Amino acid sequence: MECEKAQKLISDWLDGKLSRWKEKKLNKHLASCQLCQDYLEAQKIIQREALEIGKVENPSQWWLQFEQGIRKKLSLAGQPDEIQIAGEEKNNKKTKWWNLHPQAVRAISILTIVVGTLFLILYIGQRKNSEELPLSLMLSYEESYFNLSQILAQDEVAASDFATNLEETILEEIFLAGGEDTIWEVEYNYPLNNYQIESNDLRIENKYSEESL
Amino acid sequence: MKAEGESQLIEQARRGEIEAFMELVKKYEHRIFQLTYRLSGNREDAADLAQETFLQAFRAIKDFRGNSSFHTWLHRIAVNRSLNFLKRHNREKSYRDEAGQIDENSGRGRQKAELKVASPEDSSLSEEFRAGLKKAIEELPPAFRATFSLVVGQEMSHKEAAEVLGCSEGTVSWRMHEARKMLKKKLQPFLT
Repeated sequence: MECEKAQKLISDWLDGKLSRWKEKKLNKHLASCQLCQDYLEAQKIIQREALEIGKVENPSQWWLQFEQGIRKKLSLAGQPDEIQIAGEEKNNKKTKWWNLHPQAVRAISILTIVVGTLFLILYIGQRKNSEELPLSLMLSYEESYFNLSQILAQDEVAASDFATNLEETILEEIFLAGGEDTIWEVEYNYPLNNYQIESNDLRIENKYSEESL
Repeated sequence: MKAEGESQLIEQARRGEIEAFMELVKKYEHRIFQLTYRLSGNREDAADLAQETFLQAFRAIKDFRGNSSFHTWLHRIAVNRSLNFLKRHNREKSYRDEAGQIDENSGRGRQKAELKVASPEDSSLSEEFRAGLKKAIEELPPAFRATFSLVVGQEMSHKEAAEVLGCSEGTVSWRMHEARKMLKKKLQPFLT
């Protein structure tokens, strides 16, 4: 096992997220890798100290004042939708339609990419060879996708692993290309309603969600 | 407070009953404050952000449909507000009021002395290491900082953090790994 992969497993282990068989693999690697042993020890220290440094104790009087502040603002407002929150005026700008329909935007984007890619493959392929794609080649692709979809449909574990690996690869590519920072430079506004998690769904567009509270 | 009691309080708060909502505030104020403190880095901003979180929650509670837990929903509001705050105010140096100034050069200069203090066998780490760690966390990109704060600071599982952040568990796992690598790199002078 490569050290990079082992260190990813160490991270999952620290978060209590490592399966038994992966833990076994990690232990096997650790037994023969001083570098990863040191990495593990360093991460244990970071974990322990990070937990401690964010702990703040406030006296009970402080909490009373904190609650009174909230109560006062709520009483003044009367009804939930009359609450005014400082610094929110700027956020009341008109929401763009693409922010209101993230699913539609995603569908259109994927469709555009797929159609565009197919068009380029066929067009360039034809221009280059002045021939159509061999039928046998197209059928073999189709068969591969069909087989894969059959396997994933029948085996939940395989489907989950496939989705996770695919997702991590994509995210790593995005990160290496500096995309993660770019994505997060928008207004942070995760959807607060109707949220359903799907493990094989990247949901990157959630960062651009429409609902502003 | 049982979930049933909480649902009742939420229902009452939906009808505009302030006292019912204040019960929810009392239940969650400590955890929300801890989170806004971890993200903003100082007490004053953390208190403001926590208050704003509750006010926003009260305003939006009519739209809360229970698809996620109230706890998750509240954390999501707190994360949104805190990250927007950081973005607007560009608070890169917000930990300094409590952590004190960090002189990176002096840290490196004392590297050998710190190595012993920061070794895994030693239970008490130096204040300088803690200040360095605060600064390193503060310098993480927002998405990574939020993820790290939820998983390590709020002790959430990847699943819970994913629900708060609106991403998949795989994304949380990957961000944690990257965040840890970044922290380790920045704290290298202190670690053996």
